[in-house]
Order: sequence, then C-alpha cells, then structure tokens
Amino acid sequence: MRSLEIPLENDEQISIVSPSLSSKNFAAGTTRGRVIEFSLQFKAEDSDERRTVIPILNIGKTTQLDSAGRRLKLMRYGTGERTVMVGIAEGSNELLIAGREEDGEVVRMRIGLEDEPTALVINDFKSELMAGFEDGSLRVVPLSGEAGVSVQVAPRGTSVTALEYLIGEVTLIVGDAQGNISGWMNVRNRGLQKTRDFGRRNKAIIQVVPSWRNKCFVAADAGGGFGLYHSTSERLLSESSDSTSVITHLSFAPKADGLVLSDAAGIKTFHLINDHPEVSWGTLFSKIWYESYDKPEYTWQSSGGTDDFEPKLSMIPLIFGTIKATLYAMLFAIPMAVLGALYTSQFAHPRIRTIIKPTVEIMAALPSVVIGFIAGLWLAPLLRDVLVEFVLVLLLSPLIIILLVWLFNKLPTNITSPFRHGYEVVLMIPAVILAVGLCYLLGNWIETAVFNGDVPHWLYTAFDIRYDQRNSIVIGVAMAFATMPIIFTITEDSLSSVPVHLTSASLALGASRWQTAVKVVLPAASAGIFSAIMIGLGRAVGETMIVLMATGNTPIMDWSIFNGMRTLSANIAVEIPEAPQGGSLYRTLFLSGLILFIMTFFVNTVAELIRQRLRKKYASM
Amino acid sequence: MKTLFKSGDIFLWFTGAVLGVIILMVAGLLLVVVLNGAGVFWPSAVVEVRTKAGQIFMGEIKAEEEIPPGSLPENMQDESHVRIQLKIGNRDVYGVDFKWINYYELAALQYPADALCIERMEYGNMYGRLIGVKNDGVYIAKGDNAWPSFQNLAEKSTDLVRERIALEKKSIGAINYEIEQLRLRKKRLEFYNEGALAELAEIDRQVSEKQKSYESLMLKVTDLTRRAAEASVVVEIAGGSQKELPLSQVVRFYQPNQMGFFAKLQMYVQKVWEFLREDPRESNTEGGVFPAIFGTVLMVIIMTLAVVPFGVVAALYLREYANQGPFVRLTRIAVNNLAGVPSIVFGIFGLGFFVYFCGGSLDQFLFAERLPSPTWGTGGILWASLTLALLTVPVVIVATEEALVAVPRGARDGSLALGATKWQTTWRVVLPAATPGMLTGVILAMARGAGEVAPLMITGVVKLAPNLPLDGTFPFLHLDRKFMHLGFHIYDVGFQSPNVEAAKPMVFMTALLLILIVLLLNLTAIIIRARLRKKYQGSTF
Repeated sequence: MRSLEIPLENDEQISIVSPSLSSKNFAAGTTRGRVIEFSLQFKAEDSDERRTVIPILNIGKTTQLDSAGRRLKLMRYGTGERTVMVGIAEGSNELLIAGREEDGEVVRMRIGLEDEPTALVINDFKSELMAGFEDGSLRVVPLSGEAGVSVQVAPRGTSVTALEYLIGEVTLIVGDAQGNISGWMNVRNRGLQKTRDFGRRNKAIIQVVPSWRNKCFVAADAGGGFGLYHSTSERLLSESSDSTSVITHLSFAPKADGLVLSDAAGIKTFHLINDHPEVSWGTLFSKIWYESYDKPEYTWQSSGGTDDFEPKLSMIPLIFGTIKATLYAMLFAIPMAVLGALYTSQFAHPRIRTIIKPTVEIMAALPSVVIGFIAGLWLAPLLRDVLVEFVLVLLLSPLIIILLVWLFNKLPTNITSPFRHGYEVVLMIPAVILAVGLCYLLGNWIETAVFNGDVPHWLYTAFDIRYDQRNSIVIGVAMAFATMPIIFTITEDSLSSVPVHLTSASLALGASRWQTAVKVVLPAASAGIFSAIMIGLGRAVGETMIVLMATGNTPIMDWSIFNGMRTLSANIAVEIPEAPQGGSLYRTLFLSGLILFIMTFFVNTVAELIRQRLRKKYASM
Repeated sequence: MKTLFKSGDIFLWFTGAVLGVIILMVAGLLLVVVLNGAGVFWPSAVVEVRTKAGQIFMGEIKAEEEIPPGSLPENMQDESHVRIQLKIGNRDVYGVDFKWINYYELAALQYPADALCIERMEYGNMYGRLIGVKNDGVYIAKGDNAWPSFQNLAEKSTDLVRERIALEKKSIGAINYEIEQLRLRKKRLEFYNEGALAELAEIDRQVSEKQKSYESLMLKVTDLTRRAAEASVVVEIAGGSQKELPLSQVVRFYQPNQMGFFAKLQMYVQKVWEFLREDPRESNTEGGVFPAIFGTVLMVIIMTLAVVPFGVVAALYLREYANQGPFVRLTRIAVNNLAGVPSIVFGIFGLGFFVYFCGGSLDQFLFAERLPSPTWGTGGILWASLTLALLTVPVVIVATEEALVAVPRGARDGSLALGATKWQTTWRVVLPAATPGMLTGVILAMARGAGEVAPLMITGVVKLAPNLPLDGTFPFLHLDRKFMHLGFHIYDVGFQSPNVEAAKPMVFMTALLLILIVLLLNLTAIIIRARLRKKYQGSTF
C-alpha cells in the first residue's frame, strides 16, 4: 500500500472531498477555503512474479473558493464542459460558486441562503444546486440566479444529512437525521416528487455513495452500519451493522464489485457479489415510477444506449400483449372452428368429410413462419387498403348469405336437391365468394364517398386513433390459421363421438337436423368443445413466429384493435440473442418462458382432464 | 322464410358457409403463396417508358394499382387513376429498385426488342441496350455483332468464375480448415503439456507449409479473377448514359422481348435450378437457397434419428409393458401437455440446457484450451436438432401408441399361444404390424420439425453460414456448426433485410418451397394412414 500526498500549506487540512460522477475526477476542500482538483491514475507493472499497481496522483488546478480563507464545511465538484465547484464555509449561509469554462475563464457567484445548509449536491448539467437544511427542507437553487423552490424532503424538524444523485443524475437520494432514506425526482410540471422509499436505518444517515455502474447506492449511518440499496427495485440488498466505530469514508470499486470503507479502526474492503439487484417482485409485476417518467407505469424496455440506463423489466405489458393477441385470435377462431366442426360432424355428407379433413390437416401443417410472413408482408398492407371492405364483410356477408339461401330455397326442388343433405357447403363456397365480392364493391364505394379513400387517416383525424399497419386484426386472422385447425379437430372429434342413439332418438321425435344438433349434440359435447377451446387457447398463447412477424412488437398496453402488441413468446425470440448468459435480462426471459409454460400447462391439463372424463361419460351412455 | 328459420335450416346453411370460409382461407393462402412465388423466375417483358417530363425508364412492370384519390392532384381527377410499379433495377445508378409511375404522366410505353436484362453479382438487375463488348478496354465487337461475342465471352468468363469459386471453396477452404485444426492442436499442446517442444515445432513447420500452398493458390485465384474481369460489356441504360460491366459480374443475361414461350420456359427452369442449387447472393436477397435446404434436411434427419428410438421405446413401454394405472395416466397427461408447450419454451430450454449446460460442460472438459471462445457451448445443428426432437417426441409417442392399439388382439394372442415370449411377440409380431402407423407419426414429426423456426432461432440457426455442416473435411459431419434453415430464411430475408421490397419475391419462393416440403411430408403421412385403415378394415384376424 502506498500513500500519496496532496500538497497543502502549513497547518492547512483537507476538510472535505467530492468526486465528480461523470469524469471520475476529485476535488478536495481545505480548511483554508481552497479547492484542489486532482485525479488518480493506476499504472500496472508486470514483473516475472507479480503485478504491481502503482497509483499516480495528478494534481490539477487550485481555486481559492472562499476569499476569506475559512474552512469549507460542504463542497461539491462537477466536471464536464465546464467545471463547477460549490462550497459553504464554516458558519456561513452563503453559497460560494466558482465555475471554470473550458478556456480557463473563471466565473464566481455568491448566493445567500436564509439558513445554514446541512447537505449540498450539484447536478451534472451544473444548472441546479440542491441544499438540505436542518428543518428537513430542501431548496432547489438554480445557478441562473432565479429564486428556487423549497420542498419538504424529511419530517419537519429533522435535518437533511445526506444528498446524492444516482448515476444518470435523475434520482436524488435524501438521507436524514432520523435515518430515513428516500429517492426524489423532478417530474414534469410537478417539480420534485418522492418516488422511492428505502425505509429507515437506526441512526442518522451520514453518507450516501452511488455506484458507478448501476442504480445501486450505499448509505452509511452514524451507528457505524451501512446498507446497500437498489433504486428501481427499492431493495435493501445487503447490510452490515457490526461495526461500532463510525464510518468516515466509503467508496465503490470502479467495477462496483467491491466496497472500501475507512473508520477509526482502519480501512476495510468488502467483496460485493451483487447479481440482479434491479429485479424484484415489484419491478416485475407492479407499477414502477421510472426515472424521467411522469407517473408509475408498467414498462418493458430491457436495454438502452447509455451506462446510466435504468432497465425496465415489467412482465405486465408482455402478459397483457399475450392476452390481447390470444383474445383477438380466439374472437375469430372459436366461432369459425366450432360452427365449421358442427357442420362437418352433423350435416356434411361422408364424401364431403373426406375432403374437409385433409384440408384442415393441411391448415394445421402450414408452418407458422409462412403464415406470419403472409400476414406481415401481404395481409397487413392489403388490410390497410381494404379496411372498410373488411368490416363490411364481417357485418354484411352473413345477411347476404342468408338472403341468398332464402332465394335459393325458392327455387324448384329438383334444382336444389343436389345441394341438400350434406352437400350444402358446395353451394356455399360460391355464395361466400359472391357475398365478399358484393361487400367489396359496396365498401369501395363507401370508402371513396365517405372516407376520401384513406380510412386510417380518417380514423386519426376524426377519433385520434392511431392505425398500425401490423395490428390486432391481422393477428386475429393470422392466428386463426394456427388455432382453428386444432379447435376444429378436437371439436369435431367430440361432436362425432356423441352416441348415435341420442341423435336418432331426437330425430325420431320429429326434431329437425338443426334442432337435434343444437339441443342434443352440442350440450352433450359441450365439455369436449370447451376442452378444444382451451387447447386452442394454449396454442395461441405460445405462438411465436406469427406474432413476431405480424405485429410491430411494441410493448404497449392498449386494447385498441388497430394497434399491435408484444407477447411473452415474441419477446423471448426478440431479446434472447442479445441477452448475456446469466444476466438479469437472460433470467427475466427465462422467467417469461416459465410464465408461458405455466399458462399452457394449466390450460392443457384442464383440457386433458375434461376430455378423459368425457370419454368415460360417453362410454357409460 | 318462416320455415327456414323455424326448422333452423337457415343456420345449417350458415354453418356450411362458415366451413366454406375455412376452406377458402386455406385455399387463399396457398394461392397467394403460389401466385406470388411461382412467377418470380419467369422472365417478364422489359418495358421502356417515357414520361411527359422527358424521363426515360426501362424495367419490368411488377404491379398496377389504382391511385388513392387522396394523393391525386386536384387538376388530374379526370385522368387515368392507375399507376404502375416498375422494377427499374440498376441500383448502382438509381439507388432504388422500384419506381411508381402514374399513367397520366406517361408519354410513351413500348417493348423494345433489343431490351437487355443482365443479372449481376451485385446491385441487382441491369436493364438497358447492348452497345458492345470490350476486351482489355478495347471494343472487339459493337452493334449487331456484339450479341454473339457477348455470349461467347460471357460463357468463358463464367467458366473462369466457376473455376475460381471452386478453388476458393474446395482447395482454399480445405487449407484454411487444416490450418485452423493445426492452430487448435497447438493450443491444446500448449495448454496440457508444455514440454512437447518437438511437436510444437513440427506443427509450426506444417503450418508454414500450408501457408505456402495457400499463397500459391491465392495467386491462382487472383489470376483467375483478373482474367475473368478482362472482358466487359458496355450497356446503354435508359436515358442514354453508358455503363461498363466486367463480365465476371454477369450471372445471366437475356433479351426477354425476343424470347418465345419455350425459350422463356427454359430460362425459368434454369432459374429454378439455380434457386435450388446455388448459394445466396446479395445478403440473401438473390441467388439460391441451397444451404438453407441442406440445413433444413440435415437438421430434420438428425432430429428423426434422435426422436424415433426415444418416442417408440416410450410408447412401447406405455402401451405394452406398463400397468395401466394412475402412473401411466399421469404420463399420458404429461405427454399431451408436452405437445401443448409453446415451441419458444422448448427453445429457451434448449438454450439453457443443451447449449449452455451440456455444451458448456463439454467445452470445459474437452476443449478447455479454446475457452473463452466456445466450441460446443454455442448454438449448433446438434443442439437445434435435439431441441426439436424434444418438441416432436409427443407426436411420435401418440402415433406409435395408436398404431400399437390398432394391432389386432388375435395376432398377439396367436403369437403367445405358439410359445413366443412377450419380447418375441413385441419384436416380431406387434412392431412390424405397427410400423406403418409409427411411420405416419415420424413423418408428421418431421413435417412439424421442418416448419418450426422459433426454437431454432436461439439454438443454432444463422442467416448466413460460411460452411455446410456436412462436407469433405474430416470428420465430415460437423455437428457443432451453425446452419441455415428455410423457415428462418423466410423470417430473416422478409423482415430483417435492408431491402424488403426487392427481397419479397425470393421470400415468396422460399415460402412456397417450405410449404411444398411440409405438405409433401404430410400428404405422405395421410396416404399411409388411409391405406393402413383400409388394410385393417379388410383384415380378418
């Protein structure tokens, strides 16, 4: 170990040291009102046996901050485009400010305060000073000379004893004489707001030290104990209270993997194993007031461009997205699949059935990447152009089809009979095409006449609805391809296995085919249909490629049918290639995999149990 | 109308209509893929247009659509409301591949017979007129004579390029691989037994020897590259400016407006063949998809090798040996559940278990000298195949169980009555009878595996793999290599490529190919199953 000395004048002593968070430079305030800037360098020398690391002290400029030469009680130092030092001399109410521009020009300023500050901090933009007072208030002092505002940050009458910005300089940690630790942040239009509460230590907080790497900080109390906290998760990660002597200095190692502290007994070092401090039940599942946000929110944003980025790992937007995608998929798939299966099992001629079943099997076999590709690159742009037509098809085509059927039934029996008794679908395919065609023509006309040819634009101007090209409608249609076959197959299975004597009895009593199907077969098979829907649901929940390709993958929480979503599954696919093995993101993604697994496991088990019971029930009939 | 509603017949018709919609949806999707995919390689006519503003463009008409009324200028409302999308190519000149031109802005539109289309190694197609052919910077043919000598020289240059590529891929690739192997051996020696100086020197000597032959080969390559680029073609592109293109850049050239149907057909077949056989070019947006086909097939084969024994044994035990109690019931529920687990969950399981745990441990025990660069501890074809094997094992188990159930009781009883043991009966009687059913399951599993992408994305598929996982260098099958996959190719080119519009046709073609493979496998399974049913219906055990 080696000690280095900062050159001082006779009987001058260092009274306070302040680091600059942004550049890792330091400044020392002395008992004679001077500020000495310095930085530390480490040089490594390798010899055969061992590596020696030599610290080198570079002394920078010296500034006489207090012209009267009094002892500096509080001092803060910040570097960057300009260097600013702020100090309070012993027994004075006056803020002494010296700013040095890059060209070396020094600007001095004095701001008088009503009271003697007990803590002081300056932000990196050097635009504002925060000064804490004995009555528990905090004064924001703009360096522009304007009047600042006062905020009560500690209980009335409790002295503010520690003020420190966390990395990024958005959250301000406040410690008071009672031992309370809280986090404060400037919120747009609302000024300084309390956003974090870290509970209370037994003694007054004497020092808060932010980590260089993440939103962790260490708070030391007057009883010799200290605690390691994380801001976003509001977690007390670790604490130590065995020391009886008061900690005088405390610092993080550069990689934030160690702590160094000094007290009356000497210097102690701690090895810090601090994995995943930002993850807690709270950050995963509840609203968090993230830095620079206006209010607490559920947000997923796993990585950002800078070191001081605060990871936002809320599962809620992803679970929401999963539910939304599933819901829109099911809205479309369930009625289609169940009605289609009802026709196939109850009304269709066996020869028609031999065509339908392979068709559905082909549908089931279509790779989801192809469906997603068609949905994303073909359907999504198309839908934007034919939105009105699409809505009309949904609303009007059933009516048109009913009308066509009615007209058809007016025809003489010898023409209609080939299309009855199980062959209705042969006629209905052209009917559907015709209905869609009519709706298209009508929609085209309406679009030009009413919406001036651009519905998304109209939606935006008239209702302020944002239209994403890859939206929930696209998802609904595309996911139907993935979920319909499985719902269809299982529904058809359970409908077909309803014992024949039930249907025969019903028909013999004079019920029509439809009445039999709805009043006898459907109720008997309802459990099976429910299980089919559950399995389809499970499939929709886990579908990855379709959602990945046919939505914009924005993790927003909005039920709007014209917006997209990001689902748990797509999120894993998007983020896991970028997630370092073992990191918090990596583990969070595994957690989302677990959530997916639990969702589908639950749904599938219920469905399977129902099916097994149903099989027994039919066997006993 | 009244009876129609009262008897509910109208709803019956309505359910029929719903089924019709389902059928139409499937047919529609297939149609979209086929229509967009199949026409990609048809040499379409090249059109030359002149706008009223005097601009001249040459290219292929790709689309025609009505102009949205909103974007039509006020005074033009009476004009034709149609615009055409022109693929103008010449990306090096225009910077874009496509251009929309409004009909009312057109002054002239014609199909010049001498319009030339050149497919290039870079910058997409070139459209223009042939001016002449140069050799060493001097015109050797111009005007009408240019065409034959163009054909002649292009052929020579293509041969040279081919020779170069073969040299680069085979000989140089092999040398590089050997040098890499030597480097790894050296690292290993240094790591484990530092004393083996003689061996180290021997390796160094070998490396320098290889280095020498590498250099001589490189000389050859440079020479070939130079010779292939000696000749060049001069093309006048629309608007009058001339471009010179080295013949080594030419992939294919034709004058589509002069070609008859059969000439076009011939070219179409050629292009499809190239698509199936060649490596991709231009960040996967052109060329072929051979490595992706190869990767898909190999991955499915390895997966099948893993899944069949596993699934069949499990089904045999469940059906033939286990007591049908609560344990078996629970296992069945678990198997059915496994079938419903999302594929991406299998993916992260594969990543966590196979890649990081199994692969990482293997690296630590066997390849410690290469760390921290992973050998097995990173995605590869083996891990991807095993992950998919887990994903498809329920399909095989369920199908095999069904097949075993379908084996008539009489056959078993007969065998047992003749004194065969339980094992002999299972092995000689039950299994052969159940083989077609099991095969159906295996084929369905293969189809599922071939179409799955999500788990592969995180266990070993890459957008561009430099080497195939199977090649001529020892140990021939490189299970640790990353590979390309048709499904991922679709996702990657369609959604991650910088020029999606230009890549779209290729993606449609790839999608068509993938659908064909998957449907073919499924159809085989369906047919086998249908024949099986008939067989058992007719059998009189």
